[in-house]
Amino acid sequence: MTQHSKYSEQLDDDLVARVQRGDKTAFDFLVIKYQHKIIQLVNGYIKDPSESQDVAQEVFLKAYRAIGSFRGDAAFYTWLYRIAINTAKNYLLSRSRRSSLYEVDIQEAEAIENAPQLQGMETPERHLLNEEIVDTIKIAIDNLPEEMRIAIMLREFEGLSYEEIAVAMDCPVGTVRSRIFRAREAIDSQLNPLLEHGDFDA
Amino acid sequence: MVILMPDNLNQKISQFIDNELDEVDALYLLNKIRVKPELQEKLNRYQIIGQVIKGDIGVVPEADFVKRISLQIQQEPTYLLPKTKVEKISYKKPAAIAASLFIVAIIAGHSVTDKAQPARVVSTLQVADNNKANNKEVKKQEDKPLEAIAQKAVSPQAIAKVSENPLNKQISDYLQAHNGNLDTNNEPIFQPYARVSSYNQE
Repeated sequence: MTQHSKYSEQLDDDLVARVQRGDKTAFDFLVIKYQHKIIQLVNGYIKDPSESQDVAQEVFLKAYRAIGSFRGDAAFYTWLYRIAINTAKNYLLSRSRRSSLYEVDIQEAEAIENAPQLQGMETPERHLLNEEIVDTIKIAIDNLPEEMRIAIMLREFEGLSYEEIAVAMDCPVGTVRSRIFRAREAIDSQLNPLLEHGDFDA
Repeated sequence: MVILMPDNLNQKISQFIDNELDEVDALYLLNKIRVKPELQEKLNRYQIIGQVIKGDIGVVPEADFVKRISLQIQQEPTYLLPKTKVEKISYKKPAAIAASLFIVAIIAGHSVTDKAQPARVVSTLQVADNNKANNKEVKKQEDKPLEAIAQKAVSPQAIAKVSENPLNKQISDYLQAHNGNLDTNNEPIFQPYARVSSYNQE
């Protein structure tokens, strides 16, 4: 087990134990920690950012209700991901059942097939905003000093730990930590105004 | 605990999403994120940057995502895990096993001791029979090894002889009828009577 995953699992174990003892705040921490990953995972199935948020919310509620039965045989995130996948699949199943309840002719079927909820809810405005976000981030990355760009690419793209990056770049771990943070800050300084003006909430 | 300045908190967020933050700092940071929306937004933006580098813009959690789940969980009953006291059980287990073995050893010891008692049985029966000659014979048997004595004690001839006496027959019948009582009254003389009776039955 690498150092970074060890930290993460220790924290999860501690938070789960607290929730099992009745500490609901500890569950908020688990939501903060995993919200992004769960929403992405659910959206991978549902292809609708708005519905993905609702289904992800249901995932966390299911996890909370079942946390008493969690015994730590697997890592918490593995268990949570399993709940997310099952919930997303069930959601898709119930959605297709709802659709089949209506009698439709061929034209209506075509209309349903092209319906946004079956294709993803990305509106043209959102599509443009997404493109703008991607472009802004890419330009910001290109403008980073080389050591910062390499550090953040090794972390985000290759998934290396700080220790592994330190070995690769032949520098102390503290330097890696600082370079990655400064890279993120530099990119964020370009991204934040765009998100504030673009009203990007989901 | 060191009070972190905002910039330090941002750096902690950067470390946190990379799973490079130790448990104490992570819990401190999660507490801050929970109550400060701007830190939550910073966390979201850092995660967007990571996703764009990986090649997917994905979905950003809604600003009130954590809060909505938190509110719903407050209305949920608290799911408490039954206390297992794993550590205490691990200490008690060897003691319980040792105690069980001790009890088994005592019971086994008693049953071995009981094997010596047929000699007494026969002697008691012979007292009832008032046969001094047999009495001497049994006393001789007491000097023999236990197994030989036991065999002699339950030999059909001895039992048949004992049963000939009306008083012995009465006792034998009584013991057969009250076998359980005699087994539990801790009278070392009577218990073997019951056994002799049961042998007699066979």
